[in-house]
Amino acid sequence: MGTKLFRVVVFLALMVLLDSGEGNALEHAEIDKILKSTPPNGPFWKYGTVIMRRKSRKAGMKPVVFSHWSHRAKYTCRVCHIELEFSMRTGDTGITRDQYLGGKFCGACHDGKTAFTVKDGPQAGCAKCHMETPGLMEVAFEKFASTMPQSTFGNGIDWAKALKEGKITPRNTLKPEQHVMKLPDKLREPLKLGTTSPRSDVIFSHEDHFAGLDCSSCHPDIFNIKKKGTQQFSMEANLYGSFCGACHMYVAFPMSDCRRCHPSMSNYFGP
Amino acid sequence: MVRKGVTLLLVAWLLAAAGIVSGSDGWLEEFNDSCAKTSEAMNLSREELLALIAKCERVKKTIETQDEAVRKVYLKRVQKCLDLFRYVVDTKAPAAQEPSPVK
Amino acid sequence: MKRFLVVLILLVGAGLAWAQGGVKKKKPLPSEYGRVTINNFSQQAGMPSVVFDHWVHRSMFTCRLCHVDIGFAMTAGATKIRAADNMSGIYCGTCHNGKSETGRVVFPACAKEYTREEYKRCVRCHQLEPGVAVNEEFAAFIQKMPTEKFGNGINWEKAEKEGKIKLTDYIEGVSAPRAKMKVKSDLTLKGNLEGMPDIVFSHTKHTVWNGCEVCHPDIFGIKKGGTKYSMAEIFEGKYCGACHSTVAFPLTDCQRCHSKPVGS
Repeated sequence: MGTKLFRVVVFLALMVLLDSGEGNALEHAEIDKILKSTPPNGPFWKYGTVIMRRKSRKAGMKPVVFSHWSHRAKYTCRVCHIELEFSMRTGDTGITRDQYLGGKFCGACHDGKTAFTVKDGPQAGCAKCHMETPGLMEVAFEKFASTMPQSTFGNGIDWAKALKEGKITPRNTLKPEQHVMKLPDKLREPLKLGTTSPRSDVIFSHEDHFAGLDCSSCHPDIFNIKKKGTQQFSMEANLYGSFCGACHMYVAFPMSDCRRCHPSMSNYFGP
Repeated sequence: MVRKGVTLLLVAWLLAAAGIVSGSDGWLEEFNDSCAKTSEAMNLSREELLALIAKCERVKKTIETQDEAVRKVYLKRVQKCLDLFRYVVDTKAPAAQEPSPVK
Repeated sequence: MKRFLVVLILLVGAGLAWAQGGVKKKKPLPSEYGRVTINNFSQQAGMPSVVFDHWVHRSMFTCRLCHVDIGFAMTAGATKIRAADNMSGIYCGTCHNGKSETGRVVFPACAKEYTREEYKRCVRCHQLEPGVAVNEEFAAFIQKMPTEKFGNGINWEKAEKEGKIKLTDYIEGVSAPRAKMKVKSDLTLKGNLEGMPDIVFSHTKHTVWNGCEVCHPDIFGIKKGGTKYSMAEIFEGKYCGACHSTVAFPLTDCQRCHSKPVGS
């Protein structure tokens, strides 16, 4: 009796240990799936694609397949994630058809004027989101990507370069009359984040991130603003969706591109 | 004997429940008079504020003798009034300063 | 030895589970924003915890009425409300007493004995499961209100200005009869970080619903230019964060407060 109980308790304890906790980070199984599908393990056009199926399934529609690449070229992150209040995690926003028909979320732009309408009728583009043939998206992607500077990770597109070269000019706000706060001068200097070895030190640029994000996108939820407030900032935590991994695992360039942040390291990770 | 005691308690509780502020309402009037002044506290002179603080202290003592439900709420309320008046006195003490950097 | 190992593993596991950081917190839905769960004594008494939605009450009463006149604390669980208190006519029982002192009959709160039918009244607050009815009520309510981003999605200030909501600030027999306030002028607060726009703080907008005592001196016991506080403390729920992280519009939109352009 004693040993059986012991074994059960140890098993349960290990379950608790191995569970990534109650936070919003992806489950390990989920992230493994993503790692298997991201370049260099998966196709470029699939990177950054979000599948929303919770409410669609209930309504008997195909799940919504949302591609970040087609929207990134036109709008910065903050437009959707701050101004339109989309959550950064699938399933959190709770989008319903009533809401987007009323002009919220997707309906803010997909109204027939800025982009194809979500309403019923002759122009209805239901299948463009509630996708029946994802292959069509691949075709559209190839066409788009051919005009963009290349990279070997993520979407296969070097978005930062595209921005610098003016190949994309994403809008930073939907409200032109409201001035968007400028980055304080003090934060323009790049930050050096020390790691276990000087060769793997990270250079972080607020300026590069502020081009498309708002302060509250990261602060204080993802990164505490207290000096040395960010704790447990390990690479593993990052890979599994915490801290930088919140974006840099499945929308922004993935962390398989080591050199982008660790400039003194090589990208070699083979045998 | 126990039954008498319990009945008395029940009656007292009923009375208290019937009208929460039972007994001498004098202290309630004093409380209302003083605490109503919080919205004007900034415009009162130091002497007036000190007088109000003294009045509130007196009311506080009376409240402490009331039954539980009254005590629970009114002690907190009178404490809030007292704290506010004291705060205004404190901030009035030095000459008014220009808002300086709040770090 | 075995028992020690088991306990050790469990503790380490629990520690790891809680060490999760660096992820975006789940943003509450507009209908959930301002929801407070109170459980000082409910579970001990065999009742589900009380779920209190601020938006329902914000549309009818000022902050001061509940937090000063009725005596509610500013953090969940700090008031320590008992059923007996509600039945005696204080706290929730000030209005939730089945009578119509505040212009409408409000269902009475708490009872020592209740039938199965009456229990349905109890679960209006001691919610057994997240209510669908509440979300529908909210959807109907927000239709008539001016909207804004974040929080409840309702621009409460504008709603009052346009007369869509009328806030009661005084209950006979409960509130002290106060004179109208002469309000202090707006303040400019300079932030910590150089280059961050100055904060324009409006006393007018805050005192119309809060009076003085809600903030002074419990939340702001500071003298002008005296105590210094930082954004980190605000995020933790101190100072401005006492209200502006859970009930009033959240801290997501930096520019809402940091609105004085640099150099002007």
